[in-house]
Amino acid sequence: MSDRKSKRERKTGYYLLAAPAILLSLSVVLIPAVTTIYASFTEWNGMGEMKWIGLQNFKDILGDPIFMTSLKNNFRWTLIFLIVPVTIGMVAAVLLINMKKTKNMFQTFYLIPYILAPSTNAVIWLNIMFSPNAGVIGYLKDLGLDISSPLGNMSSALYGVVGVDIWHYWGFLTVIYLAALRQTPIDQIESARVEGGNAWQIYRYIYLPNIMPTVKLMFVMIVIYSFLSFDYVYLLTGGGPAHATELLSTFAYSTAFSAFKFGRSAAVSVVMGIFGSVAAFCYVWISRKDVAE
Amino acid sequence: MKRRVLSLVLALCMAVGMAGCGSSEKEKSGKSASAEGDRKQITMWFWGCATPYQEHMQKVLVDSYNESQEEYWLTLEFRNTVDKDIPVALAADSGPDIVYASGPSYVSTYVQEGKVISLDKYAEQYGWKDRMLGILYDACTVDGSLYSIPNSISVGGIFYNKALFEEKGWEVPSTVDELTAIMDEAIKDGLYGSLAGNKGWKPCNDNFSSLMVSHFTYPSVMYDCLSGKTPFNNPEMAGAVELSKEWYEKGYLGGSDYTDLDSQECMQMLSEKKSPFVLAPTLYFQFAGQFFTGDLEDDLGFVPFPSLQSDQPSPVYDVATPCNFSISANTPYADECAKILDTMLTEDFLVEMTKGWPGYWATPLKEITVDESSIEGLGGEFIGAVKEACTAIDNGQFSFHPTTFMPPETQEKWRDIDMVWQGVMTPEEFLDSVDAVFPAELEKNLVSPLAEPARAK
Repeated sequence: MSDRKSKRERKTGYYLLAAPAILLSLSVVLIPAVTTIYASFTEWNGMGEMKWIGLQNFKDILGDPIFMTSLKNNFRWTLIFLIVPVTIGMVAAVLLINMKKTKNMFQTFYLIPYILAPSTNAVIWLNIMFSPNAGVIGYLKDLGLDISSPLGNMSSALYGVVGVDIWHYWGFLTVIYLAALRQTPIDQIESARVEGGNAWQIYRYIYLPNIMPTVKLMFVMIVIYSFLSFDYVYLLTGGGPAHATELLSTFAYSTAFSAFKFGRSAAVSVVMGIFGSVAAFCYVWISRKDVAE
Repeated sequence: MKRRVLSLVLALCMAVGMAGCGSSEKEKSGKSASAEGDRKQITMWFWGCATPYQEHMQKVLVDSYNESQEEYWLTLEFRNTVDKDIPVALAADSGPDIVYASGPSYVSTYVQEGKVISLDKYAEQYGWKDRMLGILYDACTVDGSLYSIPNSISVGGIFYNKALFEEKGWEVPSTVDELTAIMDEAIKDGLYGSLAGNKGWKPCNDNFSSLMVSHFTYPSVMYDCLSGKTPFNNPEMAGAVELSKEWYEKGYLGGSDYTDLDSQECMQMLSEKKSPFVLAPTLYFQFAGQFFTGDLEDDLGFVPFPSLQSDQPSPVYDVATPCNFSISANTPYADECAKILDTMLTEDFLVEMTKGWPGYWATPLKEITVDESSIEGLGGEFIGAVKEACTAIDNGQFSFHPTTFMPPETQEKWRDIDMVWQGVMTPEEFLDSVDAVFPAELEKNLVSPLAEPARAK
């Protein structure tokens, strides 16, 4: 009886300790999420009463070519991010793993763009690289080269923005992969070496299986991150030229704060949330499968 | 038991901490706080302009008001995200006492939701209607009541570099043909035809589209569209948009660098003689002030944009107001806020602000008596241009800038004119997209009342 009582008391204690965090999470995650989902079914200018209109907002955005462009851009963005920075980060991490003295210096160096504020990075690229007046592009133009900023061209603008975001992100991936590679048991590596395994074989059969949980986690995080990307597009192009770099997030932002269509903006956000949730669900499913194995 | 007590204490600390955050936020809102002695605090938000301009505004508006009396204390906050912050704050029945808006279309939404108060009482008390230019006074009304005052009038035109003109032997253009001839020659010489760009601020599209549409067709065409008499997709409007596309393709809008140039860079490059022109509103004087300095001060000229329509009374000015101010429905100090707004509607304020921030504070007064030659630097050139424009506007020679006269969603669609310039849409498809949203906003009374411009002879 007293055992049961002390167990209950202990549980109550845990609940009380967890309560502030749970309350905070409810306030900043669940309530806004539920409100956003509700708002997506209403006509709302962000200030007045919400008027229930059912699926109208979703019908409207599905019929809006700019939404479809944004959606396609998000998929292209995700695909590029799953290939380019992952490859660069992995190669850099593998090259660094065998460096003894300079490893830490390189890691710090690679992380610099990641720790700088997006606005700082954007200003660097806009004014030092892409500016036709004072930047590298302007300098090359003055030398007589027929060159212009990738951000000004419909077909290259998205790649220009993705490039800047990748420049800021790949160092972070390198550090993550390097940290995972370092966890590989040294005896496995040495055994492989003793048995004559070459660098590729050691990577393929020793390192990669060991870091696979990290690779999978980062895969999911990149998908989520890609669907939430906002800052670099907003700062570099504002979604232009002619919506060529529009993403769901920037489209939702302009729909809310320029057109005062908060209901429709919420519908766009719900679509973004669905993709993020699918990625998160996949991650949980993969993790459970790994644990079961 | 100890654990339970500990957890209770921690939870309590957390609750107190959170409550503490709440109370400090409340103090920040300043409704009942008396940060400066026992004075009642009045708050105002503004966009994050350049630091020297912030200091000048603080000195001319805030410090002089705070020194003029001892009952109230005006606090001015500069926020880079003011356009987002204001609606969010108003939605929470919070925010500043004096409400900033980037155009009357924002205010109409606030009016609908009862977030700002009618200024009719103050308009009568201070005689604002008699003092303000009719087109902008009307634009700030909703259902016949005044809800905001414009900070300034801004009109489109042509900035040109006088020194470059002298070097090349060019005459200031008075027709569209003369203008394009100079731009063609400049491009041939390896210069930009004219400088324009929307880097960092997509609404810049409006400045150029407004200028072109207002002068490539009759101002009455835009008036008829905004009044709901004709759809936007009509042959005159489609022709004007098509012509704007031709200009873009010919490189008359910043060549291939339209998306890589911002307003500041355009004025900088004009001062460096990289182009003969910047086609832009008088608002751009504020950027010119940073580059046309010292020996270059006299090199900047401004003339009206010529109209393609020979039978149209000219010059025609497309009118805008950069921003406007309302009074929050939550403020307990509405009378005092109105007094502050009144000081902003005077010639003295125009002159004082222009001395340190030329280009942004052309108070839209019917009568401006100050002698522009008495003001040093670009301020004199700016006031001269505005005085000339105000006379023409008072005679009905005006058109409507989208940022000021279009309701929010229509404005957002109109801003997509770069989709025509980039060849993504035809002018007709673009105008159809505008027509798809405008009637609903017109029906909701979100369109500002319009003064009728002078019709073609």
